[in-house]
Amino acid sequence: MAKIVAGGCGSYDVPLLKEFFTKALAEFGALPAKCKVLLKPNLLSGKAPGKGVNTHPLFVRALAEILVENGCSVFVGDSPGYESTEKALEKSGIMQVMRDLRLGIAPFRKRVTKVNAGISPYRELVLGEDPLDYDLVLNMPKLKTHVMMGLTAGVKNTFGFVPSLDKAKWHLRCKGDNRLFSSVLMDIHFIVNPALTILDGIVGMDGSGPAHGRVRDLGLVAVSDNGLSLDAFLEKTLSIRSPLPLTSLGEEKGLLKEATLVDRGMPKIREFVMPATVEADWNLPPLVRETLRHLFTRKPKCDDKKCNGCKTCVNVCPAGALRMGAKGLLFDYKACIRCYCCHEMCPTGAITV
Amino acid sequence: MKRLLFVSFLVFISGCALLQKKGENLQWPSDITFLKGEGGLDAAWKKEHFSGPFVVSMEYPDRFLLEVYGPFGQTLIYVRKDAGGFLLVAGDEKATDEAVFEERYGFRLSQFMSDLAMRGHRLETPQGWTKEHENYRVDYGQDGRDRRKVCWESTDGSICLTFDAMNLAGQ
Repeated sequence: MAKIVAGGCGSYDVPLLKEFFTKALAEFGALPAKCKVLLKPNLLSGKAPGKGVNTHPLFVRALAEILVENGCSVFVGDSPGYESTEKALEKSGIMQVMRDLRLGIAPFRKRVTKVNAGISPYRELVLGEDPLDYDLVLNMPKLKTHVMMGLTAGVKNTFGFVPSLDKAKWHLRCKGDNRLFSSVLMDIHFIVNPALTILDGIVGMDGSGPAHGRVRDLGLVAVSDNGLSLDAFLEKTLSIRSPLPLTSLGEEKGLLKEATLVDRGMPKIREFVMPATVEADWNLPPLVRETLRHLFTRKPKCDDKKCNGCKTCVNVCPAGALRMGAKGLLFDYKACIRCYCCHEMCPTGAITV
Repeated sequence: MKRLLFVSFLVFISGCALLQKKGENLQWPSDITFLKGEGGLDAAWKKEHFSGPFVVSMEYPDRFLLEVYGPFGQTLIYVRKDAGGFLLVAGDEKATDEAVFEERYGFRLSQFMSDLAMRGHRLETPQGWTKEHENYRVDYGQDGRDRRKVCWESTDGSICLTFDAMNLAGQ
């Protein structure tokens, strides 16, 4: 049975966070001293902390300080969507924390092939960092909506182990099939096997996340020894009406564990708005969904006034459905697989869904 | 009319997709003597609620070792039985009397070993096998990742061992 420790934190006050983390970690046993730990925050892109896109640097600092005080050597890393890890760490404010505490960088640029015996049909997965190089991997997602998967939290955050542009290849392989993509996400999560998932939901995002939604003060911090159980818990806490693809598949495959909740003053979160794209995904079989997709699912569009012509969207689109024309961005909606990578990676928020 | 046919076709296809595919059940060995395995243990039994990776080693009926680890690699439960005697370590509690195991879990260690060794009468079910005891039941099946799964179920809760690897090479 999994365990979830959840509580309220109104701000990123480091001493308060450290106090919360110390008590929460104690629920899972004594931290080993002198261990080698990898912290895997959500580092989608080099956005400032106030944008609610990445795990907050002070959240990382509070946990890292506890680990350093415990004699551990701490590394921080992720594979952002299109920037280098170093650049994204710098812009996100996490690099300053790493300098202050002398933490190491895990750039996630290796190519580690893992044999997969999971639920997806793929037998090999390539990761940018080997989780087995560390005594512990601590998964630190940000609580945000995700236009394709509904939420990005515990399980989805470990997709960051896939090296940068390989992520787009997975989107293309799965062709917008949420169920197939969920199976890949789950396999990666089981291979990474984080010791704990520590969720930053103090400032989160709803609406059209994970990059351009509405920034919200949610005040939630949660720690669990099971990322999938944590995701299911969040769906209940946020009053999401129907199970999202990951938890739905986890339940079907018997992988979703029941969890005991240690409530340390959880906040009440009201009116959490899900992406409109999820409302239009009816969990239908692929053949039917593909037929209806072109009629009903939301198409990404470009606001030419906001577009700066950087072509990030063109470069990250796994289906090659975008090109820059003389008058602006052009979409090939027949080729578009509705993964919304363009929306996720657009640095100016010019792509809407 | 065309629209009606199209919608009917979609409803039919949706219905077909909802039909459960019958997967092949894993074959379970019987009368195991040597067992080494590792995987994940989930327990919600009486007041104990925990999960974590485990290793098990058994030479039926004389030797047994089960160790369950917490998220930081610390030992949550350690059970050993061999010629040197019995030892149970669970958190701060340490016991050398085998009766403590029965008090704690409601069945004897020898029963637990017998269940794990697939001894005794069992019935075939659509999911695998089941073995009924007076106070509890043992289900032998598999999870969604085709891993062998053994669950002890009773009114006190459940304890499940899901095997990532199982080695019976001693046989």
